[in-house]
Amino acid sequence: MAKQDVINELTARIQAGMSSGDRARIEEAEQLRLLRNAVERGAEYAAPDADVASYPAAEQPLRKKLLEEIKIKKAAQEALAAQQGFLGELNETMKSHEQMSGLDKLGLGATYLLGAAALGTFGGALLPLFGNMAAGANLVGDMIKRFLGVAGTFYTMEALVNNGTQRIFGKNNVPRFVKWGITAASAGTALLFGGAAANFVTHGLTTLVGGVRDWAINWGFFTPEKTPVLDKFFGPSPLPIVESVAIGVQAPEIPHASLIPQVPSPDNAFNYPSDSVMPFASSTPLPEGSKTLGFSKQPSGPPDQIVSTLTKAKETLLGTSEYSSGRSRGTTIV
Amino acid sequence: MPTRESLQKVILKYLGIDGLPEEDQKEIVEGLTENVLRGIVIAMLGQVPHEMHPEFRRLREAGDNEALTKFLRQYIPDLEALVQDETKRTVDEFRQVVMSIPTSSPLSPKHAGEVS
Repeated sequence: MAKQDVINELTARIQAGMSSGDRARIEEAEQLRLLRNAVERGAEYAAPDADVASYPAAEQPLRKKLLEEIKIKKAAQEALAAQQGFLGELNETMKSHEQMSGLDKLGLGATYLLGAAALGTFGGALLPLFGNMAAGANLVGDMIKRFLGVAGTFYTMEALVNNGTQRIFGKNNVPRFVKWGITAASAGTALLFGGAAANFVTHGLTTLVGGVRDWAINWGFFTPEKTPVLDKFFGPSPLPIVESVAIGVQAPEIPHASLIPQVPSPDNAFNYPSDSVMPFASSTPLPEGSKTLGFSKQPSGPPDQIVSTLTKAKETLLGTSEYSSGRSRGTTIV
Repeated sequence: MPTRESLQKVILKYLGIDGLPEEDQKEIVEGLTENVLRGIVIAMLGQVPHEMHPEFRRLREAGDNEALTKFLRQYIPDLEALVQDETKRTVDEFRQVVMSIPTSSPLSPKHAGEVS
């Protein structure tokens, strides 16, 4: 009898006398050992698929190497999870991804990878475009939410940063430019990985911009007449990339700009009236002390104050013909 | 109008796999996405106490994304940074491999990341 057969027989005998819990632990340990070996062996574990031979010779090395790399990375990740004692949980969680259709998987991949590509290639200058591009190609949908759900990014970022600035400047003394910075940064973050990305499929970036403007007016830290340049940014004219990246800051020239697709605004842009909740606002309450901006929730306070604020906002909006016309025809984001 | 193709072009060029046949590109993007997501889940689970993992599973299976996000934020206040960091790390690792492919190949990804 070969050595391996002897070992197998002994192993089987020992396992037969074990409790199911012990067997599970041994199996997990064995799996971990195999995974570690796989990581060490690398290419051997990630054996090339049989159909590799059917590709032209020049195409094989890159494909083979990359698929191997992906498998090795997977093995390493599983080994790490097993080491930390949550391999089962990891695999269960990943099942939701496995159950997606091929198209959804690619779409989800595009969501994440395009975000990384935009960051890596253009230093973030493409971030505002990201949501719009994904929306135009109808790629994102609610895939992020379906996987794990990172909804609420927008309001949370705003709330967290707002809390911090209030500590620095005092509760009612946060400078206007800082508030706008918070808004812009929060929007940028949400664009990339927040649940807001999914909403762009339906509502488009124009809705966000319109919503930002409305809420800014409602909450009294933006007066269109006083800052016409900023107002123009939020108005109906095509939105320059420069201003969409960071308000008032000259963005670097984007290389290969001709590649960037032009995206007409969706037909259903500006579906939301000025006094509505932000389209992707979460119903989750904001953290304590984060109500000053009130960016993503309904105004709170005495009814008279709310009515007064909204009335003032409405008067301001109705008095701005450019914006009014813009609401009806939407905005094209470049 | 952006098309699925124009989006893919940006991604595939960045990853340096735009020279591969379409089927291979899909396979690689799908695999890489899995790696990214797995990395994110590991990073998340690593920060959630073990005894709370059943709760994580319960919320996940219930499909209540808001509750799940709230739950995760108890242990990972900066959830967005975690997602971004893990994505970037995995993609950067992948790109390093791509860049290491010998440049003599006609599919050399020496210009990976340049979008033209």
